[in-house]
Amino acid sequence: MCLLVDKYRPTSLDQLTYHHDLSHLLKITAHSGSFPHMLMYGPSGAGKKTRIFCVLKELFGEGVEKIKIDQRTFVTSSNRKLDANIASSIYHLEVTPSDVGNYDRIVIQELIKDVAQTQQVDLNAKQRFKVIIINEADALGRDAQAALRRTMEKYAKNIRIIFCCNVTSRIIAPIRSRCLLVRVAAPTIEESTQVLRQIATNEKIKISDDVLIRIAGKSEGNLRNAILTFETMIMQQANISKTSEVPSPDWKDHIENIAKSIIKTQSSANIMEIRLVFYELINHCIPAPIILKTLTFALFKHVHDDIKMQITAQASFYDHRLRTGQKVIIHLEAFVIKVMHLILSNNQKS
Amino acid sequence: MDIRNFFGKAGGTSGNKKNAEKDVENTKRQPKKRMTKKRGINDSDEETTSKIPLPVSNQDENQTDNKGKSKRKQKKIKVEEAIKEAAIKEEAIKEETASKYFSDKRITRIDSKARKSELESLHNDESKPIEITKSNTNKGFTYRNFLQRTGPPAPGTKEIPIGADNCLLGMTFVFTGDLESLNREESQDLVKKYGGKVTASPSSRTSYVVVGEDAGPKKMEKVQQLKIPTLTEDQLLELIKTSPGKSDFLNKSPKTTKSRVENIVKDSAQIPNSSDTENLMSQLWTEKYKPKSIKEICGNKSQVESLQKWLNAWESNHKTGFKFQSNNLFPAALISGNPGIGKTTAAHLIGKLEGYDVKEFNASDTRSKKELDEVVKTATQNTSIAGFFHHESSQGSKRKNANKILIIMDEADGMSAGDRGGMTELIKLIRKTQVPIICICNDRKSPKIRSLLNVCQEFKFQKPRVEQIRSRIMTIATREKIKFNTINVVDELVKGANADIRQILTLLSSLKYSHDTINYEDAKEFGKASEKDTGMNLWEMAYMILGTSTWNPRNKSSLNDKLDLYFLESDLLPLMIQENYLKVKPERATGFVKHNEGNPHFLEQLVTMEALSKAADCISDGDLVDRMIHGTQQHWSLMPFHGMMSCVLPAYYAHGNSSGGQANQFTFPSWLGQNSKTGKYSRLLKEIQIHMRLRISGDKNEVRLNYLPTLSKALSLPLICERSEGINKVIGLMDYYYLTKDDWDAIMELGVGSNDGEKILKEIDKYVKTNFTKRYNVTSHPVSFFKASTVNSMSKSGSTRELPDFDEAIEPEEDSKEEEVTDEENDLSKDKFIKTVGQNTSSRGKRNSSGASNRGGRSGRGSRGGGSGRGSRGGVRKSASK
Repeated sequence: MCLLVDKYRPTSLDQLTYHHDLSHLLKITAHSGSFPHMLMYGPSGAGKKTRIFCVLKELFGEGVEKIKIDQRTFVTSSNRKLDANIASSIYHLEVTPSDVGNYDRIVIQELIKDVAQTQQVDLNAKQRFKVIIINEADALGRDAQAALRRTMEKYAKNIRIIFCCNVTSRIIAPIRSRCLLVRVAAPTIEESTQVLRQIATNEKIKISDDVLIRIAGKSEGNLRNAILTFETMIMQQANISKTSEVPSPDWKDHIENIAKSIIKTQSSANIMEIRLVFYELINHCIPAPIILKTLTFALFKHVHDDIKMQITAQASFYDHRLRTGQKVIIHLEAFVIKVMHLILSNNQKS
Repeated sequence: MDIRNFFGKAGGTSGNKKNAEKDVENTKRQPKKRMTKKRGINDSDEETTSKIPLPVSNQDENQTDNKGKSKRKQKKIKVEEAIKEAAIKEEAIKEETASKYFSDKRITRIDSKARKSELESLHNDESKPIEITKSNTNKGFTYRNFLQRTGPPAPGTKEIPIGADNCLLGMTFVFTGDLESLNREESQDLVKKYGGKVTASPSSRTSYVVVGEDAGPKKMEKVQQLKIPTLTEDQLLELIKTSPGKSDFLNKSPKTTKSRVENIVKDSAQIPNSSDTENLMSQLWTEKYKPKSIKEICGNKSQVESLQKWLNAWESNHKTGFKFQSNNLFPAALISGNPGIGKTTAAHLIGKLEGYDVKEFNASDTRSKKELDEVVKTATQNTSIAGFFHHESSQGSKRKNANKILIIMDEADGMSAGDRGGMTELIKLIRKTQVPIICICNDRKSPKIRSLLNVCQEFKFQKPRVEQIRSRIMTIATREKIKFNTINVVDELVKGANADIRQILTLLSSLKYSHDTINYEDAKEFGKASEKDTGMNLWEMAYMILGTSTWNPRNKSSLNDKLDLYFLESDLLPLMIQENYLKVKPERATGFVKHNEGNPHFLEQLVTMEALSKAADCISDGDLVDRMIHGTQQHWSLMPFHGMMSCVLPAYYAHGNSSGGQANQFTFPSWLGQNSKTGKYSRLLKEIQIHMRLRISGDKNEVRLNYLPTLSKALSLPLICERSEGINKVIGLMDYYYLTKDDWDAIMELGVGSNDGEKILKEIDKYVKTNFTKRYNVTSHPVSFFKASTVNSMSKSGSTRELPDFDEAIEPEEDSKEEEVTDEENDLSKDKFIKTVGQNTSSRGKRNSSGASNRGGRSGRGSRGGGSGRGSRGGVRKSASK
């Protein structure tokens, strides 16, 4: 028993249902004999990881599917111990250096050099190099990225690196220039719907196309989200009619409530209430930029067109602060107060 | 943000000077201004409004009707003058409140309080001496108004004359109400500077009462009764200008100071002059002017006397063993009190006078148990040489035998870790002492001293009062040829030093080299500099900076003073402000009342939100600065800037009275608690993601945002709907994703809103829940990996072995384990500390080898026991292989 999203994950390039050009390109590259370093980017839920995995399979064969996870401990110069989780097969190695926060440089230096300096011993291996997948590459610190620069060239014989990230803007230019940039765009609504329909047919679930389109629309191009929402729906409701409501995740509901209360009352008592909800969301690991983004869009449903522009401007202003500052609650709160003030002064004018 | 404006306000009165001057000019040009005024409307408009008759006369009549018609004559005041004054007042109020802030907006407001006080002040015409009517004194003087006072209306407009020295000597002043250009502190300082005396309330000895606006009603009543002459501010300044100086206050002083002077002369006679002058020059003043007799000790007369009595009676009491006496007699004494008030001096002096040889131990001596024992033994069993030689020759003292020794334990609260056992030994010593012991400490409430209190008679030395020190300081000053400008200088010095005589003397001795005469300002400055940092707690600090009083122009605290608060608690105060700035009602948003244009409540809301928004923005800026300081860059030099942005500026915008009005309404920063909660949950989430890693491709955030809403349903719905039948389904799903039971709990906890863990847990039947737990625990589950810590500790123990023997590695586990266990038990029985832990370890070893659990090594508990156990295993193996 497992969730549908993992049950129907494509495992080879041929199984992929959209971005066929890209699949073709990847296939050619994998067989070309000169596989480059790669930088996969695109929104989450678009299928980056899935594609990386398909490429690995194309490169090395079935062997890459035998994955084990272990935790390695790194010691910093100040004798702090860091645990990093590494998923690996005999042909590849996957790591998320940003897990250790500021010390990502140490993981990069120790781990990658370690791997890079050893050659493939399996003579039957299809390729002479190992692949290192670096997840959340856009969260890598500047130092860590700089540490990669030279390593990538020096040990090109032994390793290939595949970066996986959402945006390229936070990857330093020298790294970008050393990689083949591959953009994995989010699937369109039609493509998502197609995937959902396929799953529904396989699972023998009767569901109208209308609902599927609504699910796909609500997921905003995140296919993972679409499939999971679909599953939640069939889990909760035995018969899905055309009109059934598409459930939204718990945190989204919560943020919509904030938006409603901002519109309803603008007072310092209400700000304090909202502060508590913010704390709850942050506590429960909802990233602050996502809270801000969702809140902004939720506000749009309720406010007058006149101030939408201003709210957008403020949201981007505070989004920047969320990333450059330290305590996210301060900036979220400042945003809320700003919006309340905007609403009030708009009321005054009208 | 209008920094200039901000500095203008924060800088207190001086910053407002320009505006105030402009305002005064304005009022000259258009004397008939109304107290209600529309902002941004041109002058002609105002004049029309000013034609509306004032409701003054009406109200006055009402008042006087109540109080008696006889007084009616007294309030013949020209209406015009009244209006003029009201205008001045109004300008001043406008200046202080949000007018500048909203000057560009068409917001109208009436300050009702201002209006009230204007009506009152119609009587107080400054151009002539004040006639007080009863109606005036009773009208609406409330504490609230008192709090809302705005400070002098026209600060710095009048030139302060330079009078002759001591021109006000012998006069006593009382201040009441607001003066026009000076605030209370300034005016009092002015009087003190010229030798005048300032008292709080008028009495028959008061020479003048200086009256300003809004004079206190009680005071005015008394003034009338006693017929004390009153002065206005101008008259006071005139008085200073014209009064003749009295250069030598010692000779020409009137009655009140005469007695003081006589005292001084008497005192100076008492101080022995030439007995040992040869080394006086090199001595510290504190040594030089040490009291030589009991009379010379400043203050604490009764304590000193009783101490002497106690010492005097000690011998006789000792013979009876202190037992037959009343229970407040002890073989030891404890003197407590602030530094610099003569505790040690008194103890030494009394010891000497009672004919003892004083043996002093202070913090510079080792006072461990052994040392104390040693010293006391030698002290009690030996004769001091000094006493031996002196015992016939001493004149006047009551020395009977040379064997009397007094032990003074100075700085008893300084007995620290180095003197281990010192305090208990001291107590033991006191219980069976052969000699009197005097202990001296500063803080009698310190926990170290508490045990000592049981065996000591207490003498609490108080801070001497100013009068008690004054004469002595004067004497010393004359002797050292230091001149004081006025006699108030001494008072100010004493106040500044917190009655610490030693500090005053030290200060005087250093001042002597730079100054011939010390004037009032010097003393005042000294007082400020040495003002001890009073312990303020976090709440008081938050109140201080978020409250209205600090921002009131009457309060002279400067921008730097406010910033200093930040430096007292630079970590917590910003958080405190962030936590509580929403809990006060911004002062700039108060005072809107109903007006024909717009809704005042709406306006108040708007202005509140604007103020809060500005404050929040500043805090947000502050956070960016905080990152610069505490982040990778470590720009510590930005601290003052951080203080400004995170504390001072937000408080500037948001300050006000707390909306609930209660003092303990502020709360401790919740950010700290919330932050640790965030840490905890993100650890849980990380664990979940790692476990699921083999099956999914998403990262941590994806797991939280997309997987968890579905997973928490998938893991709970079967339990709710299908009850026990659903358990297998849930466990199957968990096993597929390598989730443990802990992860299950974490997934439930991580939900918010509709997925709130507690809600879901409530829906699951208790019976099903326990069944689920039971079923999960009996079945075995796949595990994705072992924790690194487990792996690590195993490899470490491998390295501690003496001989890494690879052949041994394949040796059957059971044998060695049995040996290991028995061996461990033998080993551990010898060491009582690691017994229990060690047994734990052995069982853990078994569990690890079975490989069923991935959390065996999680806590790493009992590492000591484990270490020794492993070590012994190595030993056994070695012997076995040989």
